Amino acid sequence: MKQLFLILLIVCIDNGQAQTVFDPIGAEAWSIGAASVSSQNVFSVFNNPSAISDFNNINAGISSEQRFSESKLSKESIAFVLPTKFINVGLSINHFGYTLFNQQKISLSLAKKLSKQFSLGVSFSYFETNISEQNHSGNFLGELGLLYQPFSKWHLGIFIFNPTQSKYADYSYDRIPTFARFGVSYAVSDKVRFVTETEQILNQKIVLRGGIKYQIHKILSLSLGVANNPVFLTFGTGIKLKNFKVDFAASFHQVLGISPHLSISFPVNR
Amino acid sequence: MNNSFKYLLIIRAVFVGLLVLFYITLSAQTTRESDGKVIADIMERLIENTESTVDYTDLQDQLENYIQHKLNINTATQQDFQKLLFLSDQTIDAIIKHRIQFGDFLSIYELQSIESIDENTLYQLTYFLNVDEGITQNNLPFFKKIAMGKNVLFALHENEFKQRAGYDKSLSKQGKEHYFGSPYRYVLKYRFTFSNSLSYGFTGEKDMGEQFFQGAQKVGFDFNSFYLFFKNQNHFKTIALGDFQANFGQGLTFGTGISARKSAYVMNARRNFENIRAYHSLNENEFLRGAAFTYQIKSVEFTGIFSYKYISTNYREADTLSNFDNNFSSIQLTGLHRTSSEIINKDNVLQGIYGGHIKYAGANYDFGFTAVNTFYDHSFQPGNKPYQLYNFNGRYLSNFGVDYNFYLRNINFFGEFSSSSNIAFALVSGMTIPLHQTFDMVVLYRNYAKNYQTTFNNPFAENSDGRNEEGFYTGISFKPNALWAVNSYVDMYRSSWLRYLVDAPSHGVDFLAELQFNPSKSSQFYVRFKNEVKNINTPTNVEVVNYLIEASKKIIRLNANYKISQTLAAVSRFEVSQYEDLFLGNKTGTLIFQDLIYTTELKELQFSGRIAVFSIEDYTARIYANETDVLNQYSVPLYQNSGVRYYLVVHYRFTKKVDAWVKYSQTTYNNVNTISTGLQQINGNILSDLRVQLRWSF
Repeated sequence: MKQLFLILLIVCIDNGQAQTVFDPIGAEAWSIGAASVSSQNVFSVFNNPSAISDFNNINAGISSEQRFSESKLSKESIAFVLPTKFINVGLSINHFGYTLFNQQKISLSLAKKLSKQFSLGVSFSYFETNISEQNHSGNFLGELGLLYQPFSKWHLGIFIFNPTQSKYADYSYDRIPTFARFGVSYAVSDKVRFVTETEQILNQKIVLRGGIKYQIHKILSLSLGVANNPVFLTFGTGIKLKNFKVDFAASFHQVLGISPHLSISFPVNR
Repeated sequence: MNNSFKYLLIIRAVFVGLLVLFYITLSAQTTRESDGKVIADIMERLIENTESTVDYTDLQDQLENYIQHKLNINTATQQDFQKLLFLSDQTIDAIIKHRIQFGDFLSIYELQSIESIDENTLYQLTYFLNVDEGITQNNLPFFKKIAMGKNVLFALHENEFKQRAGYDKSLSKQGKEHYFGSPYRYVLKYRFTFSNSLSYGFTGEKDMGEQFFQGAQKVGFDFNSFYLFFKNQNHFKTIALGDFQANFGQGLTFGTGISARKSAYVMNARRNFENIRAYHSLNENEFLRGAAFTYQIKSVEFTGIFSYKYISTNYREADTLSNFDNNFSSIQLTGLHRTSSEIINKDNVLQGIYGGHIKYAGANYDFGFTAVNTFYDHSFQPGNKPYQLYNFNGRYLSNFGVDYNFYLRNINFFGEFSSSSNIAFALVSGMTIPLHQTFDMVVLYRNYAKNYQTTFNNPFAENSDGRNEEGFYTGISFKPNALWAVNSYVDMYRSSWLRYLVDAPSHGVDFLAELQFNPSKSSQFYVRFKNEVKNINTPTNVEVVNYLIEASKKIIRLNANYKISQTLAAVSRFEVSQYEDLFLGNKTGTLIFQDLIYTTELKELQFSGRIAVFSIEDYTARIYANETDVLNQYSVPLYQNSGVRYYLVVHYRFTKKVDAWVKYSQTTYNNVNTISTGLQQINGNILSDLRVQLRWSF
C-alpha cells in the first residue's frame, strides 16, 4: 500500500501528467528535454519508428531510468534494429515498475524510406499492466510515425501513439492514453543541434519540450533541455566511439528531484 | 608603406565614404528619432519582466549618460561595450574583430559593413558610439575647466488636477493623518560636465503632498542630492564626492541602484557594472552618500567607498513602559514625506557603509575581491513572522565576496561567491557560449542561502532581495540573418524558506519566447509570449488549512514599430494577458494602443502621443506598458480595470539652448467610481497628469 501511495502522489502532483511509462525513451532524448520524435537513434523504435529507416547495420540498445531516483519507478528498455533489403525491422520491449505495479510493452516495428526525404513507420504492440499479483490486463495497440527532411538541416517528426484508442483490456472501461507528438530538429551547424517538440495526450495539458545538443569534441557532446507540464530541466552528456554510444542524462524536477537516465547502443556484427 | 597597401587604404576610404553618403541620404529621408525615443525602446526591452513599481530612473540615467558621453568605437574595450546593456557578446566580438582586421573605424557608419549586426542594433549604436578622439584636456586648471564646461538646468512641474483624499482640509481639523503640502511635484536638476573628466550637479525633488520651504521641509526640497565627480586624474580613474552608486562584481556582495533583471535582452545575464557612478536620479533610498575613489596601478584597481547617510525608517524609541529597546523594523523605500507619520520617519536612522574592491584585470580576464561593512546607529529588528526569521537584525553587517570574469576560447565565464557575517553564503555562476555565428546561449546557476544578508545587492535573481533563492537560467538567441531573430529564455527557481505572502517553500518557472523581424533600421515587428508559473498562498478564509497553489500568468504581445513618412513614426500594440489559479479561476486582460510620433524636419518640434484602450478583468491580469515622457522622467503605467488612456508629449526647441517639454496624460475608467484607496483616493473615474519641463543649457 505504501508504494501505491507513492505512485499516487507522483501521479497526482502534476495533475496526472506523469505518464512515466509512455514518456520518450533513451538518455539522448532525455538530455534535450525529452524531445524525441525528430531524432534518429536505436531508441527511435519506441519514440518514432519511421526514424530507424536509415539504419544499415543491426543495432542494439539498452536504456534504463529511475524516475526521481526511486527504484520502484524504474524503467528498463531494450531495442533492436534489423535492416533488411526491403524494409527495416525493429524489436523492442520495455518494463516499468516493480512487483506490485508494473507495465510492459513489446513491439514489432516496420520502417521504410519512401523517398530521399520521407520515411514512414508503424509499430504493433502489446501492452500489459499488472497491479498486485491478481489484477492483470493487456491489449494490442498500434503506433505510427513519420520523419520528413524538408531541407538538409531540418528534420520534422510526427508520432501518434494508440490512434485506435485501445482499452487496457477488452473488458476494461479505461483507455490506454492516445497521444501525438510533433517535433522539429534543426542542425544549426555540424556541432550544434536544436530540437523542439510538442505533445498532446488526449484530455491533458499540452506539453512543450526543447533542447540543445553541442558536440564539444569529436567524441563528447553536452546537452541541455527543458520541458513543461510537468516542468523538467534536463542535462546530458554523450560519448561516441565509432558506433558505440553511451549517453547519460539527468532530469530535474523542482519538487521531486533528480531522475538519472543511462543508455548504451552499439552495432551487432553479423 | 608599400603601394598595394596604400591602394587598399584608398579603396577602403572611398568605400566608407560611400557608406556614409548612403546612410546620410537615407537619414535625410527618415529623420533621426530623439534620444528619448531610443532610450525608451531599449528601456522597454530591459524592463520586460517588471511586475513591481521599481523606480527605473536610475537605469534610464545610465543610458542617457552613455548617449551624452559616447564611447569611442576605436578605443573602447570589450568591458566598455558590455556596459551598453543592449549589445550581445557576438556583436561586440564582431566589432572588435573588425577593428583588429581593418584598423580603426573611419566613421561610425562603417559598422554597416559588419554583416552580423542587424539594422535595429546598428541604428541604436549610432546613438552610443562615435569615432572622436575625445581629447581629455586634463591638464587644464580646475577653473579653466569650469569656464569651458557645459551647464544644464532642468526644472519640472507636475500637477494631477484631481484632488486626492489626503489633501482634504477637514482632516487636519479632525486631527487625522493628511498631506501637509501642495499637490504639486517639483524637480530641479543642475548638471555641469566638462568633457569626460569633471562633472558636478544638484538634484532636488518635492513629491506631491510634501511641503516646500515650510514645515518639515524648511530648506526647500524634501530630497536634495549633490555630486562632484572626477574621472581619469592620473592614477585615479574616478573620485566621487557626495552622492554616488557603487557596484562590484556580479552585484551579489554589494551593489546599489537598479539594474536590469530578466528581460527581452535574453543574453543579458551577466552584470557589467561601472564600479562607481555619479548619482543624479530621484530614488531616495538606493544610493550612497559620502566619498569613493578608484585608484589604478597597472593591472590592479582599488576602489574604496565610504557612505554616511540618514535613512527613513519606522524607528521608535523605547519609553519606560515598553519592553523593547530603541529599534526599527523596516526601512521606508518610497521617499515620500507627506503626512505627520511619514515626516517623523524621515531620516531618523544613520546608515554607514564602508568598504572596497580590489580587481586584478588582464587582457581577457579579471578577478576581484569585495569587502563591505554596514553599521546603523540603532538596532534593526525585523518582525517575528516566520518569513522574517532569516532577515538581518542588529547593528552591524559585513559582507565579503570574490568575483571572476574570464574567457576560455570564446566562452565567457563569470560569477561571484559571497558571504555575510552571520556565516551564510551565496553563489552565482554563469557562462555565455557562442555556439555558432548565428546562435548564442547563456546559462546561469545561482544559489543564495535563505539566511544570506546584505545591505544593498543587485545580483541576477527572480526576487528583488537576492537571497533565499536557487535557480537555473538558460537564454538563447538565434539570428539566422539580419532580418530575423528568435530570443527565448527559461528560468526555474525555488526558495527553500518562506517569502512574504508565500507561507511555505515555493518554486516557479518563467518562460519567454520572442520572434523579431527587423526589415529596416527604423521598423521592427515582434511577437512575444511570456508565461510565469509560481506559488502563492491560498486566499485567506477559504480553506481550513492554508497551502500553496500555482498561479499562472501568460502574456502575448504583438508589437509593430514603423515609419509612416519622413516625419511620422508609429507604434502599434496588441497585448493579451491571462491569469489563472485554482480559486480565482481565469482572468483576462487586453490592451491595444497606437502611438504616433511626429517630428518636424528641423527637429525643433516633436509631438508624440498615444491612445490606449484597455479592458482588464482583474488586478492579477494587469498589463504594463512603457511610455514616452519628458526627458529624464520615466513612466510605466499599470493598466487595470477598463477604460481609455491617452497622452501627448510636446517637445519644442526654442533656441539651441532652451527646450521645453509638456506632457498631458489622462486615463478615463468606465467601470470604477473611485481610484486608489486611503489618502490617495480620488473620487471620480478620471486620472490626469500634467508635466511641464524646461531645459536651459549654457
